[in-house]
Amino acid sequence: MESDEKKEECIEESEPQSDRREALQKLGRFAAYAVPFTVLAESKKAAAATGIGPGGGGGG
Amino acid sequence: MPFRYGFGLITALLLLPGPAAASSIEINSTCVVGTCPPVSGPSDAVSFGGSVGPTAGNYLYTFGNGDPFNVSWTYSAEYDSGGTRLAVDFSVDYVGIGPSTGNDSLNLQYLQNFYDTGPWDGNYTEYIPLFLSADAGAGSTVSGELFYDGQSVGLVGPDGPGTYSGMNSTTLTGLTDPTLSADFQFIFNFNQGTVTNASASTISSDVPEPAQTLPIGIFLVLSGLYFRFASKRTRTESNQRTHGI
Repeated sequence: MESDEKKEECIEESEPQSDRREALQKLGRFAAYAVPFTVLAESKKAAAATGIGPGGGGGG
Repeated sequence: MPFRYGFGLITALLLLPGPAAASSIEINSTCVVGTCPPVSGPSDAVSFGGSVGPTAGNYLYTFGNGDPFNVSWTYSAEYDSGGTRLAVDFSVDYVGIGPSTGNDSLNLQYLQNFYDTGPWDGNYTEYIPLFLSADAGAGSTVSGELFYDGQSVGLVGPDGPGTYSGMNSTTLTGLTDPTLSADFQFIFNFNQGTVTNASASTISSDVPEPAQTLPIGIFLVLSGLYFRFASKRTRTESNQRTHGI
């Protein structure tokens, strides 16, 4: 009887472990979404070679 | 019936080519896009309110010694009340099987005309980022320079392997012709022994800037806090259940 109670306690104690696993899985899923976000944040166009000049007489 | 003719006329007008606003790309004097150099006058230029691109393309250039390079680019240009603007990305990869056999010099040019009544005198600014991979042959270099009607805004480089950027501003005078000819020129020297997939480009490092990594850092910290809080709360609940609280 006493050993049964201990077994139950062990099962109860293992819950945080499963929650932790669940949280890690969620984190992994979010991390996967974060990758394309990182690529979007990196603006290669901003790093293009550029030239800026004044307008001509008519338009500028 | 008049409606029918009117519809036909509108369709025909839509099919007519609009005013050309062409750009040109030249690799070692080989014209691979447009007319090199572009024709003087409005037909081959960006006029006020006009723009071109962004337009992307690529070309496999093989030297006489057999060394092949894949050249790719994206260019764009516009002219409005803010002045003239042009942008180009050149990216070159050595695609030979085995190390290159000679010293290969690639002269890449983005040629873009603008058209207005002029004069075009004033202050011109260039920003030139450069990259050369470490596996290019010893002594390889990259450089860039922007010219307007043959006048230089400033030379950036030549630089060896690494990531660089240079910015120059210059006041140019004597630009009286209605056609302003911009010539964005890059010289990529790949020396003998360049390894397959070695590259040079006008795009700066792929490493995200600190400001760009910040949101990811915040996300990780918040995730960590959430995980810690959730874990602690579950443990407390569990203890309460275990001890019959």
